[in-house]
Amino acid sequence: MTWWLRTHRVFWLAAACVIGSLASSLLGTASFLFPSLEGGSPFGSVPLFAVLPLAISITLSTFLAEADQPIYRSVARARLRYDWTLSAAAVAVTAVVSLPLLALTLHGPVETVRNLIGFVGLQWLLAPLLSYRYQAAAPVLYVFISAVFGRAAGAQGTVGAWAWPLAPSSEASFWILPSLLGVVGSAVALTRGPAALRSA
Amino acid sequence: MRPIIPWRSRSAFLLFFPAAAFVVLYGVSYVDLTTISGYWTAVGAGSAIFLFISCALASVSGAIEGARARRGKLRRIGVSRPYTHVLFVQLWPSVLVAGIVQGLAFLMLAQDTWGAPGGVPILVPVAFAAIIFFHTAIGYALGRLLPLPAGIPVALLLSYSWLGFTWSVNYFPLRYLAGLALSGCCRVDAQLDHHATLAALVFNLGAGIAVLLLTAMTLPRLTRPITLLAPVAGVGLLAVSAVVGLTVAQSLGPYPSQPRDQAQLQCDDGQPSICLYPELDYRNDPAVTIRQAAANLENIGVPVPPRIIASGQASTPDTLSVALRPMMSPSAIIYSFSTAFLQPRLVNNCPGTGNADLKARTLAAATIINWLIIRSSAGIVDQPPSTRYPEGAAPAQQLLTLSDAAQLDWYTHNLAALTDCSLTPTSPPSS
Repeated sequence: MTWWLRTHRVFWLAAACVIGSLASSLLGTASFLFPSLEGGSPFGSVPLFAVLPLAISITLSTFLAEADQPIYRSVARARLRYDWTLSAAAVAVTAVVSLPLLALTLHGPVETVRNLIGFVGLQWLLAPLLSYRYQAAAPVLYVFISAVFGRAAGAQGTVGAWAWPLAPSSEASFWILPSLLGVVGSAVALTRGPAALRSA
Repeated sequence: MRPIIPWRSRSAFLLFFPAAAFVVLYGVSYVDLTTISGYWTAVGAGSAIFLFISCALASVSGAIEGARARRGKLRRIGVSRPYTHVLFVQLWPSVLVAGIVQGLAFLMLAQDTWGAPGGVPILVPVAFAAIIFFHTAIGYALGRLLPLPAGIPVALLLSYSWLGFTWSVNYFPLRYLAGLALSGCCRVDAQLDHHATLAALVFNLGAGIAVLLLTAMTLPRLTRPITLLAPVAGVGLLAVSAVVGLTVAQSLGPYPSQPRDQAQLQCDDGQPSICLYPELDYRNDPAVTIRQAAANLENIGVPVPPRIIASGQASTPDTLSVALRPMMSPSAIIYSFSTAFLQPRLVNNCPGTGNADLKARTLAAATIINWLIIRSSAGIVDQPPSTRYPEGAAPAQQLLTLSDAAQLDWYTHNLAALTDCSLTPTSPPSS
């Protein structure tokens, strides 16, 4: 078990979760955006609570991928359940750090947790196709696409339900997809697991 | 045999298809061409909007090449070729394909502009190339330095964040380093300020080379000072290009434009003389409509300045500045022409007179605009263009029931009253 904790760099993952959730919860409502042609209303506004949890999900897949050596695949341990637990623990640590910050700021903590659940769920879901090595690109691409196409025209236009990473937590409909991803992703992660790389 | 275009072995070529689809989808759903069509400078600079797509491609494919070099242990094997050659072989597809995507974006924006006189300032595509090169270098460095699973997503994230973040910052010179702010250029009466393109060019080229220097093949070691040369030179170049770029962009505001050179105006010798930029009359001539509208007003005695120019600046007593863009409809031209009489300011907020007075002045201004539009559009369009000042419609109709002389008297007094605090605006008298 000690070896497992070391190969998965649990300490560094916990550190990333703490730093990421602090930053994302406290700075979350700040956003960056893009100009549109000739001074019209800007587009592609991305709040930081959509971006900073990506750092956690990228760190998580990096450590999972680095530990996923051929020798690890041949152990008798319930490998998939252990990997799932590591991801779930990252989400849990983030939630434990973020949610108390609701006392300080109204927006940010809940969105951070929701987005991380969505991102990790998406990674779980796509790992059988992409492998641990490439799965981290999926949530980033998802945020990229929802930032550009997820809003009705105008910077503060309404956010589509599918573009949940950008939305404030005010409405329950933005929880539908991330929680679905979390549940379905868990099932996939616990049964199929990541693709093996051809040349490991 | 290796194909001439390495489709399968180089990621950039495969990424071209989603990137091109992205450009087309984005262009079709969000870009409004009316403000830029007909003016090559605006089309060229405006295509900066699409940089976030081409730079994403450059950065991601750079990261994939970098990850490949990392897996191949480029630092540890001996390579006899010069490092520039190694880099060129690795990175040319990324820069080339991202450039093609940017060119595609330009073609999308240019679809209504073919045939217009003039051209794109040459520095604009050069600056775009430099920006793409910088993003390729960043992606490559990330692919080389980060673990394989992190390289690609971080490259995509960083590329997008750098472009978006800099645009959200209110320190304007920083925006010009990223280059996206070029898209704020230009209406036809403005031209691109070359400080903007120059800043983007200097910074991105310098920083790109600097980042590549930092990925040099030899591991730096203190015991061998020669190996420290590349990292020190890289950091130095990065700092210098940032400082130079910021200095060049120092004079710029939120928009990279400056008033256009008036020497490019082409005046005719009619009465009044109408001066237009060559882009304005290559397809349909707004001068005909303007002359007719001016004649309509002069017939009832409204004084029209002897010189009418295409400009967004304020009108003066002897020059009427009409805001025009290429391919305007007659009704839009009449609207611009009529509102030009009320520049530079619609109304003055006179000190110490309170809200009611300002309201009366605003209503008078709205009435004047509606009245000018109706009178000047006679015989040109069947339906006068609708205004942004609907509250003036009813008083303007009231004014139209009077005799021409009475209308003119009311107009003369109230136009002066808008900005002269010693006069009081009046409502149109009932006949």
